Amino acid sequence: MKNTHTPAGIINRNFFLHIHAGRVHLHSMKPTYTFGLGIILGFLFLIMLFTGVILMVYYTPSVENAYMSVKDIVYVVPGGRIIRNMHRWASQGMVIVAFLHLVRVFYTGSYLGNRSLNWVIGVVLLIIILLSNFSGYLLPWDQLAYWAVTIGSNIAASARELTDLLGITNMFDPGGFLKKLLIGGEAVGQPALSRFFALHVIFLPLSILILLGIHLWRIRKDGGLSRPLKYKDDKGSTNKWQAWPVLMWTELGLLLMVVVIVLLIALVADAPLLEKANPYFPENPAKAPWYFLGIQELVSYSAFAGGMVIPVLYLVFLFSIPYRDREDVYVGQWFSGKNGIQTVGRSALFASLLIILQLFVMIRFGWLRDWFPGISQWFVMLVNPATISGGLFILMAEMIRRKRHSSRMAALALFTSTFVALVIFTVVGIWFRGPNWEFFWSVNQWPVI
Amino acid sequence: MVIMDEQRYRQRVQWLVFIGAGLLLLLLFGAWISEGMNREWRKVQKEYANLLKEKGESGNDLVERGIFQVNLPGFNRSDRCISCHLGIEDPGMQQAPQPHMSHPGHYLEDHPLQQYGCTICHGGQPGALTKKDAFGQLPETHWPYPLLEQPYLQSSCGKCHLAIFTNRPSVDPEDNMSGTVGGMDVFLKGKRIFSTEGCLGCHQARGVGGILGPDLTEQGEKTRHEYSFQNISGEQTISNWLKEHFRDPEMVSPGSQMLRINLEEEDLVALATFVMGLAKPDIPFEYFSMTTLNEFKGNREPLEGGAGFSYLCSACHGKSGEGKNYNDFKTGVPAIGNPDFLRVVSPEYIRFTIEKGRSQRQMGSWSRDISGLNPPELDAITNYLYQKNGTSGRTGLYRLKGNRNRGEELYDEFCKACHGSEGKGDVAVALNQEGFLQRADNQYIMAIILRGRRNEGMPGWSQLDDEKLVDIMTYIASWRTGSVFERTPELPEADLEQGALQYHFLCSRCHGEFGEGETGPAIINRDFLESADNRMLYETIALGRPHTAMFGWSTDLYNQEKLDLQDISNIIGHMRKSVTNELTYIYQGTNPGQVDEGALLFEKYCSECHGKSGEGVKAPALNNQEFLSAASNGYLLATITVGRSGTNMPPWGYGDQEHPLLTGKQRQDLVAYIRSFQRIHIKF
Repeated sequence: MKNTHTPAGIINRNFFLHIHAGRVHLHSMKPTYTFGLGIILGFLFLIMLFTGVILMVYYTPSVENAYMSVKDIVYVVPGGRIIRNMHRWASQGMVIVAFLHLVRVFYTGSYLGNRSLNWVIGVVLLIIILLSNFSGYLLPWDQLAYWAVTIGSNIAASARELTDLLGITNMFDPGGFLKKLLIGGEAVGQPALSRFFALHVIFLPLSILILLGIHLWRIRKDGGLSRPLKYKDDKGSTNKWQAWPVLMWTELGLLLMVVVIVLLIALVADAPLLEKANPYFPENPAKAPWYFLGIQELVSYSAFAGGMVIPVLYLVFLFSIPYRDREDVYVGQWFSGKNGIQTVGRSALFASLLIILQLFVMIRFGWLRDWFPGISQWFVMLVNPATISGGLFILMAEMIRRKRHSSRMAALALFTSTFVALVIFTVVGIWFRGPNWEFFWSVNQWPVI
Repeated sequence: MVIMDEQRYRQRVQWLVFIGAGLLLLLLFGAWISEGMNREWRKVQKEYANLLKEKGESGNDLVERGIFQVNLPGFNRSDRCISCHLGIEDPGMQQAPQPHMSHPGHYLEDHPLQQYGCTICHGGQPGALTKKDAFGQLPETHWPYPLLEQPYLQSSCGKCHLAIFTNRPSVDPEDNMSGTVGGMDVFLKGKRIFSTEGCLGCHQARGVGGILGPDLTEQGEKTRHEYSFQNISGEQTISNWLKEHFRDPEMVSPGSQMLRINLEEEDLVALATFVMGLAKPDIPFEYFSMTTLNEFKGNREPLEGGAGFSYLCSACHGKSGEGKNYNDFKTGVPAIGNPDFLRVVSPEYIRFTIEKGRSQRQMGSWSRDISGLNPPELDAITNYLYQKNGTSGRTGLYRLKGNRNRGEELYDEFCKACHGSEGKGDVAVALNQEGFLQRADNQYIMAIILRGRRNEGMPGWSQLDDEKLVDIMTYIASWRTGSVFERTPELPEADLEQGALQYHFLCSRCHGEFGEGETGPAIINRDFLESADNRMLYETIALGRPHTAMFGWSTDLYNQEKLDLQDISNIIGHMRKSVTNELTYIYQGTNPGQVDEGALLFEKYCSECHGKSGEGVKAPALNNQEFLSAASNGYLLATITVGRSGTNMPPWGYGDQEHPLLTGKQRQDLVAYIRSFQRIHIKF
């Protein structure tokens, strides 16, 4: 009979612990390699599940009662305020950490080798996380929620800009179809709340759980976390530690720190709750949740280009990375060596300058419609900071691919430039856009309405 | 190669775990304390229990602690105020400090806590359990219905108790509202101000009023977000917005045409309190008073004339009808309380103007569909205005005897302009005429002098004092050579159908189809018929007026038909009946003036103020079609003749220091020219 009391045996005997391998490579345990982001993300998800179930006990998903039920959670339920705050702040943390994790995985080339599928699963998980956050955003049914989802649903309908220009909207309306799929009608109401609630508490968490299971199983299948090629021949227990107890201690430590930080923030900062949703009084500015504000900024240039073309292109790019770049030699290395660092640095600089220049021109001098009032919307749709930047980034990446004969360098360039652009546009959308989406340096300058 | 030391790594991680665990325990413990034990309401309840103990009331100890609430399904809320305000129903807590103090006054007797809760009157956030959130006054609480402080708190009474159009206590003793509800003094003061400042002239409330401004029926239910605070520099509250708005509407709401309301600060507070109480809340109907419910449906007591004027007209026309001059208001507002206006205007003119309004001016139509006032109420307003003409109660003067010489001076001063010197006639009938003087007794003469003959050009002279009136009457009577025939015939019952036919065939050629006057005077005229008794009418018809075109119809002069008593009675009956009929049009009456000559005169004398084509520059527009349909030629003539003191319209019949006298013929020509502006004749 096998000795099941060895460290490996303890791992293997337990259903939940068995997601871990018996042994783990040292390189995977380096804090500066992964920063523990994946594990942190997982624990944040655990917090979401736990606090979410408690909230679900007291929450009512009807437009008449949703708002008051949230208020009652905050005022009456003992500890309700804390639980709700934890749910809110951990959810924001999840989005941020998910993006950081994506960034880490990309820059360490961890999609290379046989990890392509896991990368794809990861991107799908990212999308589901965003949708979970977005569906949960609506549930308090306050002014913030209602108008954010209204904006989101209208971004989903941005194909209408194209079909309107072609004059075919009443025959072929994919924008309207997508919007109706999302919120069940032309305006946010009880149908939207009901389906968002169902998505948020059942379908999306289940999807995350299933995909997360596959994501973790793929790690096992792919031989653990990625590491540089110099460790390729480490077989057996060379450079490996027993998962029990070291990895367990690490995970416990991270779990406690994540809970501590989320609890601390929940104690001192309250999740926002504005007035009850009122369809007659739009917020001005009405803003989508912060992670969509980059897209909203692009949509302000052109609905179709910013709401459909660029996001879809970005997703296509993300999904295609492991299939366009197969230079396995770069796996496990942050920034892929000196060339890589240079490429990343230059791309970041180029992207920053380009975006800021375009923003400067737009804010100071206006854009096409201000200079040529009668100009056709086709021009506005095709020529704006979103399309110009996108086009130039693709061009730049292609040029680098040819110059350096390396798909990895091209990938680095394109990923860096697009990510920097996303961050800048998101920052502008969060902090520098005020009523009527006009540019203001600070909230103090916003006009009273 | 070894890149990391397992032992050291493990130790570091274990440190992380211990610190994390310790922090977590600390935070959990802290959370338990702050969220479970350290709640604001627990502290308040402990304080309250101590207060009870101090009072030595054993057995009254606050045994139960916890969150208390009043469930109010009718209001769709649950009020948790009593979790902190525990002493609210405890009479022993009257002197206690807040929040333990009991509710002042007898309000809770009429509004039991379990039925009404707290927030329906006081505002605030019912579900909250901290003072800041419960009051909902700070912007970060994001609550649109903040706690109301006195006196604005009184506005909540209006939600259920306000009957705008009822002033006196209602007849039904069960209906305990409207004026007799205690603690509403500021609100009721605001209601009084609302009723006298003429707000409903532009705004509607509960179906009554004008349509220039927004409907105010539910103004009190609006939240802060429905007001623009862009131009409000002080407190960002609704009550302050309202006060600023009353003081200077155009500054607060650019583009607004609302007139400023000049009131003292405490009156502004009262008016704001009232406006905040205009509401139609969505609560079960048992909570409202019957009168309020009826008003929502449109059932209300009819407005009396003075009240109607106050509510609707006084904002523009002034509380005593003084109007606004052209410096204050671009197109001016007529002074309908002006004595010179009141002595030439007819009730039909006023009623027509109220019904139709004046196109291209701010005076809208007040007909029922637009203003919510029903015809009897519009009649009441008309009467209220018309009765200010000062004629009532003075017709007994005819019995007195005055001074003939003084009367002659007065006659030359006032009457000669139309009736000619020594009463020989000019644009108006000759008075020094034997046939007239034998028919018309002093009673008739005095009545006509006092009230005038509206629509015909004879103004009333009620502004003269009694002595002067008697003197003029004496002078006119002095021309009488014979005596007045005093035989009063026994008139048989009139056959009105016959009378109408006879009138049409015999009289209408000279007196007009509707008795409005042609070559002969207007005889179906209320003032005339109310002043002339049947004797005078009979005598005039039967014997005629010698030396005029009115021949006697009972003599066989000129081979005309001979009318007997029955015929004349028929005609008189027809005349008296016709004057009570509803008018189809306001009849212009006859006017023998010359348009072309009138045009020249108009340009010379009138166009500077009234505009070259009568469009109105610093005087009313004379080419206004509603005006011309309301005004008869006689009204125009009278107005031109006597002018309008207190305004810039001079008396052209007399002339003054800056303006010449215009003869009767010239004035007739002007009337003809002004009449030529008329394009349409608007039905009544």
